Amino acid sequence: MSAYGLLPFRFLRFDDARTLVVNDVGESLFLANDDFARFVRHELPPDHDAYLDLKAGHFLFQGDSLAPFELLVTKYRSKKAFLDGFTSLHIFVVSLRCEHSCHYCQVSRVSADRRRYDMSEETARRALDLAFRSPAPRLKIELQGGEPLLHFERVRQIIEEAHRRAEEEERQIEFVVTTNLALIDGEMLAFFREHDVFLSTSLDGPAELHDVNRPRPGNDSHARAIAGIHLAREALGHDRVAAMMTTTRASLESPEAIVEEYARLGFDSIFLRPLSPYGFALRSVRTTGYSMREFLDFYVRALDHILALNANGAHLVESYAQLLLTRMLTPFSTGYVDLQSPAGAGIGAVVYNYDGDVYASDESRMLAEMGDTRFRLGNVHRDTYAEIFGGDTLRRIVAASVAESIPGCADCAFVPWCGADPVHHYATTGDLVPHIPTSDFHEKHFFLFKHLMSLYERDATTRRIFWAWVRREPMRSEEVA
Amino acid sequence: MTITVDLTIYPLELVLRTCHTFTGRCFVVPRAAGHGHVAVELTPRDQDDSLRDLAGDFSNALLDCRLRALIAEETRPIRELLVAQAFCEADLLDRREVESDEHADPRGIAG
Repeated sequence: MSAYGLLPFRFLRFDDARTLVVNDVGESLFLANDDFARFVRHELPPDHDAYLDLKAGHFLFQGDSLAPFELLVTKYRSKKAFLDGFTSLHIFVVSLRCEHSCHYCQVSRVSADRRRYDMSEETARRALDLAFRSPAPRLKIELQGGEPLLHFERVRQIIEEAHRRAEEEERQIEFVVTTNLALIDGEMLAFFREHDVFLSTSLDGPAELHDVNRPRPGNDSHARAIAGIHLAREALGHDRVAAMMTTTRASLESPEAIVEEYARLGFDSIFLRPLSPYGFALRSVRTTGYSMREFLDFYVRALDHILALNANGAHLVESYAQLLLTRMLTPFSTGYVDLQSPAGAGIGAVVYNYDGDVYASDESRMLAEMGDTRFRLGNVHRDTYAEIFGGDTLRRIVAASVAESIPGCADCAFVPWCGADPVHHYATTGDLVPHIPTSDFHEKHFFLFKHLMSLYERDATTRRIFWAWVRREPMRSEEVA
Repeated sequence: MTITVDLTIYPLELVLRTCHTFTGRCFVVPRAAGHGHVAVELTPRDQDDSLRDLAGDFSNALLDCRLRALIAEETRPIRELLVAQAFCEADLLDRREVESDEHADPRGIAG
């Protein structure tokens, strides 16, 4: 027996020949099965290649030096840095109104003429009071709907007041408006330019697919989105507009065409998102829905096409793969609220609904629109900051979302890269804690981590592309095949 | 199909943990089988799931579950210390040995 000790790690029988080991800070290593067996029996000699790799990767230690422990502590702290500063993303639902009637819409919406679903000036002011109570050094204010541009007066008030307060308090602040762009005009763009607003829009693919998914009067959603994207880029800068797509049943056969549409329009990222099991999305599941297996088949085809474009010199990132790869390949913290441990609901992001109700996440609000207010943290008119952000509801969500303690996750090799989403688990199973063996959330992430790892192992070109995504910059010219 | 497990080799907690991981693939019923054994009845949800594969996969999963428990137990004090230190301002690492010498005898070897 060699005189070395084991450092904490988990393992997965990756294939017939290799075992993947992942330590608590997400560093990973493939070992031949025989080497793995010798490693855990403390039988690897110090001159063995695997021994040296395991020592460098913080899977074993030898001697009395505290250096490996101190390094692991620093990396663990870095991994969990998203907890620093508490709630930084504050989402304002300025109106539930929308002129689109998308079948899959996560947001329960009403027709465009019912102004009682608009956020009032006083509600917005009280919500801002709460947002500025957050200890986060950097605040992000996101304005959404419905369609927020239908209530531009409130968008203007919130951004102006937040900007003024951030300057007074010397805090960093950024603004995102989530809009379908159909109603954007020169006045709005001038205002967004003045306040350095980032726009996030929806683009589901080519016109025929987009317009089927996103009906509106005139059936011209795609044309308006494209026109709006061009206008916004001209006014704000090319990189100040991003787009996201939602996958419907109609999308499943067209992954390549969807990717091509993003490339044609000069986007440098595409976010391949499945349907959400909330609100309208749940009610229309029979017409728009599909199994997780079908989504993953679609994802694999789309990702293959994206990688082929990148190999030929294009720079187009798949945003979810970028997030997962950053976790797999670096010690850096990535604060994605729907995939954190503990989850970011309430402690990373919070939603102020048009009527002043405060929710732990957008999905929590959608459940409330379906009649289940379990995740309502309070109301800006009735409750204090301490009651909303220190109350039992939020404490229960956080306690249920530490993935390292969830049965089935606790032993999973991927848990240092993964997270939990108790609101999703509740919406799909009725329980904050998922039943991992039958969970679609688990099916998705277990598959994606394994698939990305297989692609990374496959060839040097894919590795270069993935590292460029993690670095968040295009591949250097000498890296392109 | 029923697999009988010797509880002197695999503690009941590990058998049940392994059963849990198979609840997506099977309906699982563990029963006391007397003389320190437990019988695990596995009924595949998918009729095409081969019983031979299922038995082999369950046995291998049981072995890996035991290995995971051994590794977790061996590394538990370090894992707890790392997490505690990561969230703690104070220095929790025991530096007596690395910052000491034979005269200080930090392990009390000299008695």
